Amino acid sequence: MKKSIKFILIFLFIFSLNGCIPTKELKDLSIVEGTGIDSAGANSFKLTFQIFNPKSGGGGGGTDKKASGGDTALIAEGSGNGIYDAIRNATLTIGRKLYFSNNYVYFVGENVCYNNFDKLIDFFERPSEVRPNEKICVVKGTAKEILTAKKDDQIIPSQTINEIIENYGTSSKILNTTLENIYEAESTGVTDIAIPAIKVVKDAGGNDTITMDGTAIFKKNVLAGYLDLNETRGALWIMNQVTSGIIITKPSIGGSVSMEVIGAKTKVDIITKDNKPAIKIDVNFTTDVAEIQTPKDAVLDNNFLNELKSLQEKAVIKEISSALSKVIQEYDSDIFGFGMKIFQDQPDKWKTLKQNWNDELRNISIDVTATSSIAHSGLTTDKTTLK
Amino acid sequence: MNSKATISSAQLILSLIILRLAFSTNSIAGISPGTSIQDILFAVPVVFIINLIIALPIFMLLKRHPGRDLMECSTQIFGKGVGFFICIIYFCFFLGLSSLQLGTFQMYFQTFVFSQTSAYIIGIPIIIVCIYGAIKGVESIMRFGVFVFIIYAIISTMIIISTLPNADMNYLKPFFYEGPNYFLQAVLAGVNSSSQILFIAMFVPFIKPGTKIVKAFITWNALAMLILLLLEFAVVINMGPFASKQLFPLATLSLISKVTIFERIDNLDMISWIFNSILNICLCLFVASQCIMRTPLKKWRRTIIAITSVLILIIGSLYSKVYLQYLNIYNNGLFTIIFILLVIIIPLIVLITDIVKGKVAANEEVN
Repeated sequence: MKKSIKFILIFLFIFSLNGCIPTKELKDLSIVEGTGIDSAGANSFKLTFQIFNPKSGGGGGGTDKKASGGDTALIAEGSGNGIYDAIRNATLTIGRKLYFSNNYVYFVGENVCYNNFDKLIDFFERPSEVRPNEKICVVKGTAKEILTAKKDDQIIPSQTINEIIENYGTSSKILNTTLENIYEAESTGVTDIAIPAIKVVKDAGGNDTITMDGTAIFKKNVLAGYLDLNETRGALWIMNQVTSGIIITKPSIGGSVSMEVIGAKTKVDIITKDNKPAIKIDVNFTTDVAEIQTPKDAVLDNNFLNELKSLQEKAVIKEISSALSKVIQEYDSDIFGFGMKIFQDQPDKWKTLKQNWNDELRNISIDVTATSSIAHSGLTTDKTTLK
Repeated sequence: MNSKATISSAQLILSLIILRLAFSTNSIAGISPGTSIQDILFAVPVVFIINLIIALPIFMLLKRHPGRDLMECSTQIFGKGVGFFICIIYFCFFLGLSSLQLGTFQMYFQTFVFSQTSAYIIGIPIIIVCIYGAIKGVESIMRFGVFVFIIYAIISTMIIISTLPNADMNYLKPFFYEGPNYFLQAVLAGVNSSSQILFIAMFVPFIKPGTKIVKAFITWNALAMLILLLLEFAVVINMGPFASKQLFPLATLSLISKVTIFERIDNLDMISWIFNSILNICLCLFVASQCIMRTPLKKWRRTIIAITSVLILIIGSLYSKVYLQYLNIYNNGLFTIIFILLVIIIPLIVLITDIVKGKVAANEEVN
């Protein structure tokens, strides 16, 4: 009797092992790879989704994408009062629930950044499907333009843009902002947000080309303006995010020498100057001689190397100064987290500064120093010319 | 029940570490320290010391009655009537505690996996496994406890290591910017989460003869607090003030972890949550059944375990529905009163009564 009861219990238990109820079936989901957010009025949003097309890639065995099932990605749209409302409304046309865990990048249209960006932050933080390590870009234009951009009649997938940003280190002219960076800046209540900017340009053949175009600078969650690519690198030096990139120097013998950054470290310290907090930015970097384009033979002796060192240090200080000037003086923004740094290092002084931080930031003394070394010159020592 | 069941002090320590740590970082949301999140780190060593002090009455009592648990001591000193009453009080506490554990797990599951899943659907398989564990007895639970500890240690280490490149030590500054308020709340939450002192007092009859209970307790306290400090340290240096808004900070930390191929290791964290929940509810259910074993109701032990499990399922599911309203459950007044009553006052009364009775009996013998 006991055995039969046990058997029945075990048999019944099997039914609890069939997974979650209600279920989340792959066939009922649309896997979103890119999400575009545009403004559609005061509190309304228009969302564009780039959805993974399962028919596009697999099973072709040499057949092209068109032949194997169509576009690389599908496009869906939805509008609503709030992001979630727009997402749910999109299902009215596509018939399947949108799934965001595989989303690569969120593209935010410029119009949203001027008016409604603070309303997005809650959406980015709350749902578990939205991952903190997803990337975010501000689009110069509308987000829809990016997600529907085509090359050779194929939609440019978000994955490609994700790869461009992932390899930001190669040029160090692109900021790599993830949602986590937004959460962290937001939770301090002091630090402002900086997001890479992107735009679509048409080439001569009528194809769309997506290109990174500097950095969008926010002040209190409102778009204040942009940094160009060089200024972006200036900002990256301060944020200790430069890993590579080319510095062009103009030596006294004429022409130019390209120096490739192979390592960099920036230290931002809060010091006291005239009994007030001041900021000291100290950059230490190492370069390789990458390319010499001089009219005369350049001899890589100590004098020439010292000149290059001095020139590259000046170039870096110039990049940093132009970024500081634009972000602080022009846009009145604290994307570098200087306020937070003063709060952490000199909390007593912060108590008085925080009341009027943005005005204080404009007047704060900032010292920038750069020290460098040149490590390698490639496979050759001097520029070789036919004599 | 197997009366000859014995467990080693290592098994007890490791299992109770899981019971202490499993959901410990969740209390940060209840404290909501914002930019003062680093203050909570100071609370950990203070909780360690307070634990040593508040455990004194229990361990003094256990020393006077070697090999007996808290319920046996109470019944012997006060007699069956009052003893029964004390057993029922502690039974209710363990029932409530396991319901909190289940409710927290249900909330976690609904938040991270599928919000439309019914809390009961999540709870039923967990409860079935826990009933099985509680009926199998203490040896099985403790062996499972060691296994869970190893899993938990591996996963936590992976999360901590994989988030190290993102760490920012500046988040550790400044301390006590907004006064000691958040620190004190963290101390309160930390002490109130240390009811494992009672569990040690309940497992005494099963511990291998010759084991020093106080030494086991101090080891548990030291190890649990050290690991808690490490976990909270990882949360603070990686997420800073952002962590104070998170319902499940360690789970969020696993979401942002990234080192080479190790990215989004939240699935591993989920495994640890499932195991931890099963172990914790099993332990609570077993200890609750031990309370019943010291009463005349012991002949219905299995039935009572089954009824208790249903109650845990119902209360836990209800708690998961109001989880957000009770984020500060471990640092609120009512829980503190219950904790002080059960961990300090009742054992102290039992101890004093025992001492007084002992002295009276000694005087009578002399006379």
